[in-house]
Parts: sequence; C-alpha cells; structure tokens
Amino acid sequence: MITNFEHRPSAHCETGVTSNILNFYGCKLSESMIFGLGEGLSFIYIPFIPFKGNALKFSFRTVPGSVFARALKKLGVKIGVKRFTNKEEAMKEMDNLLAQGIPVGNVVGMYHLPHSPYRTHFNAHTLCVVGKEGDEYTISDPSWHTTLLKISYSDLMRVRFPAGAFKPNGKMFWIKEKPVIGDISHLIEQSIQKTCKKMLGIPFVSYFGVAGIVTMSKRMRKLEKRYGEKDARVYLASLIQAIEEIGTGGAGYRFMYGLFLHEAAEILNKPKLKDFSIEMTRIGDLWRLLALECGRKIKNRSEVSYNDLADKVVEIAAAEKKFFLALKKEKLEKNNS
Amino acid sequence: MEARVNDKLAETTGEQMVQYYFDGKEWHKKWEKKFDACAVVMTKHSQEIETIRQQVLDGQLSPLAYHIQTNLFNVKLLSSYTKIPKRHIKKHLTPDVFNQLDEETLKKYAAVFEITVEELKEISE
Repeated sequence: MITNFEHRPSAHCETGVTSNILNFYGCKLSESMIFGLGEGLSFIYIPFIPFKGNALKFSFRTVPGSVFARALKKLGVKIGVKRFTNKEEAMKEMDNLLAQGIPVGNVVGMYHLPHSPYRTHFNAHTLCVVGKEGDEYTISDPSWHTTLLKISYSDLMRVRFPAGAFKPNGKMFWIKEKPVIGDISHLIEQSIQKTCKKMLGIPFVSYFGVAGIVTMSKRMRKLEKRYGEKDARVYLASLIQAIEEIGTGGAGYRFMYGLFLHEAAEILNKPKLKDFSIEMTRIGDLWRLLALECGRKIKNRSEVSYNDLADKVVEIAAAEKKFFLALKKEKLEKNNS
Repeated sequence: MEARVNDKLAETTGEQMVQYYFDGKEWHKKWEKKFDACAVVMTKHSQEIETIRQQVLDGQLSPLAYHIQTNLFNVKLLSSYTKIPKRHIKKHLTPDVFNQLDEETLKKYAAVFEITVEELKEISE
C-alpha cells in the first residue's frame, strides 16, 4: 500500500491520472499543463459512422492515450507501457509493481465498472491503482470521485479486459525512474504551435479542426429533413452531451486550454498570452450558450430553427479560426525580434 | 429488468463534475451540476424497448432481443463478448431457435448480462 499518494480530483480522467502520478514523484505540474503539453485540444467530425440513437459523431479531443504518451515523451520521462493476452498474468505483473511501491495507471472499460456513473460501452477510461490489501485493490479515480475507492480482484480483472471497439487488453503504464524536469518553456511554445496547426486543419479535408466545425453546421441545417423531427432532437441532445458531459464537460476542453495559456503566460513571461486565455474562455462560453439554446429547442421552449443554431456554430468556427491564426503569429513575432 | 434500466437512468442524473472558470482576475475550480441531456438520448432507447417487448410477447422475437436492448448491447458487441458468430446470434433472436438452445450457450449469454439462465428465458413486466 502506497501511503503518500495524494488524490487530487480533476476535470478529465487521463490528464488527472498523469498529473497525480507525476505529483507522487515530486513533479508539480497541473492537469491543464499536461493537457496543453500533450496537444489534447482538437475537433473532429467523425465521418462514415451512421447515427443510431446515442452514437456520437463529434469529438472535442484527440485519441484517448495520446495526451499521456505525448506529454511524458516531451518531458523526457521514462515510462513503461504493457498489454497482455493472459488475464492472470496481467494481474500478477501489476501486483509486483505495487509491491515495489509504484502507482500503476490502468486503461479500463466503463460498462462493468462498479462506481461508474455512465453505463456506456466506452473502453478508454483511465484510473490509477494505488495499493493492494488481501483481495481488494485501492484505486484513485480523479474525474468522478473525491476520495480513494476499493474494488475487488474479480471486478478489476473484468474491467481491464472488456470486449468491443478499442479493446485495451489490460493496458497499464507506470514511471520507471524518478523524473527530473528542468525548463519547460521551449516545450510549451512547441506544443502551442502544434495545436494551432491541428486546429487550422489539413487543407482540402473537411473533418478536422475548424473545417470540421463548419461541416457540422452544414449537417445541422439538414437535420430535420434527414432524420425526422424526433430523431433530430436526439441528435442535438448528443451534441449537448459532447459539449457538457463527456470528458471535462463545460464546452469541450476550451476552459482547460484557457487555464493552460494563463499558466504559460507566467512561465514564459509573456503577458500577451493572458489576453489569449481570456479570449479562449469567451469561445468556451459561446459553446456553452449553444448547448443552452439546443436544450431549449429540445424542450420546445423557444422558436429557434435549426438554421439559427447552425449560424451560431459558424460564428464559433470563425472565432476559433481568428484565435488560432493570431496565436500562431505570436511565435513568429518573437523570432523576428 | 425494467427497474434495472430505470436505475441506470437514475445514476446518470444529478451528476457533478469539476469545472474551470475565470472571474476576471483568477482561475477557479468548482463542482457544478449538469443539464441532463443523457435522459433525452435515452428516451429513444426506452421507446425501442417497448416495441421489442411487444414483439416478444407476440412471439416474433426471442427474449434474447429484449435483453440485448435493455443492457445497451448490440449483436456485434455481444458477439465479441461471447465469441459466438454474429450470424448465429441473429438466428437465436427467433423464438423457435432460441427454445432449442443447449445449456452452455445460454450460460454464456447469461454471464454477459449478469443474470441467471432462468431470468434469460423470460422477460419481466
């Protein structure tokens, strides 16, 4: 049992677990800093997936697992990652690590997890196993709970080996050596540039970044014609879920990125980045207002048409494009001077 | 089984999460309640449960179809959990084939839904 593990609740599972593990080794990096370094901000309008009930067609983040891998690779921390075919072997290896006093991060399925508030078949939730007492494990789940929890051996094994899309196969990760982190200012600039590049999109492809938001607005205009009145509302509800509930909630990671820019301004000594941080929260508020309007539309409390909602989405896309173009130039000005 | 689905709906409501917000000077972290969009998405789901329940009572579908719907599964997912081919599961959705199934396959299905074999054969009201 590891005694001095500090459980800090966070907004998002993956970044929360990463910052908690780093904090255990004495590296004080906040959750939002890891989100920024891992280039987590993105927008994807997922193509080719048919819309059936609560299937989600949009993602406000990159692929699960990439934030952890990118952030720690940049920081130069040595990590171990392992997947298994044998279930008992997977549990035994984890016990060995726990006996040495190493906290182990796990990728688990959400459906069979006993304390999970959502019963969805989503196999990329992250939590951290902290200790073992007899047949029970102590876990820290920073995105849902404020305290440490207990889970039985059989439950944890079942959760680590779910079936369906994106099988984790008992994927676990840990830090091999005690990390030493020096100056991170150049890493911050590098990751800001890459995020700008990602959000401004690939040319001629209309599913990623700002172009993806525009594509979403085009589909929203045709919603009623395509799905009928009832199903169009379900589609809007799933959009609200993506903005408000999944991951961080609260306008899909925009506020978290704003906090990252605010912290970056202090580390880099660039007060101009603070203005960008405030602008980012304004964009986050626009997303939240959109969710509010959609909620009213679902409950029949306002006479907003789907075209009006789509116009708002176009407004957000324009604001984001302007923001990231300006943020990209920020670096260039510094290089010239 | 109906009660179990309602429990799942109840679990999704009233959930609280960490939020970051900016008050003009400093960043804060707080816990905030959410608008319940999940329930709206689930209404479509529960309507489908009703139609499938009627079809099972009329003898057009087997109880397996009902359990798949109430547990938020589909044929592809169930096939990957039980390792029974998809085309076999599709055949098991008809009552005639389902009634002739042997104990082993029934046990496999029951283990995934976390119920007994007897509960698998009937649908609750």
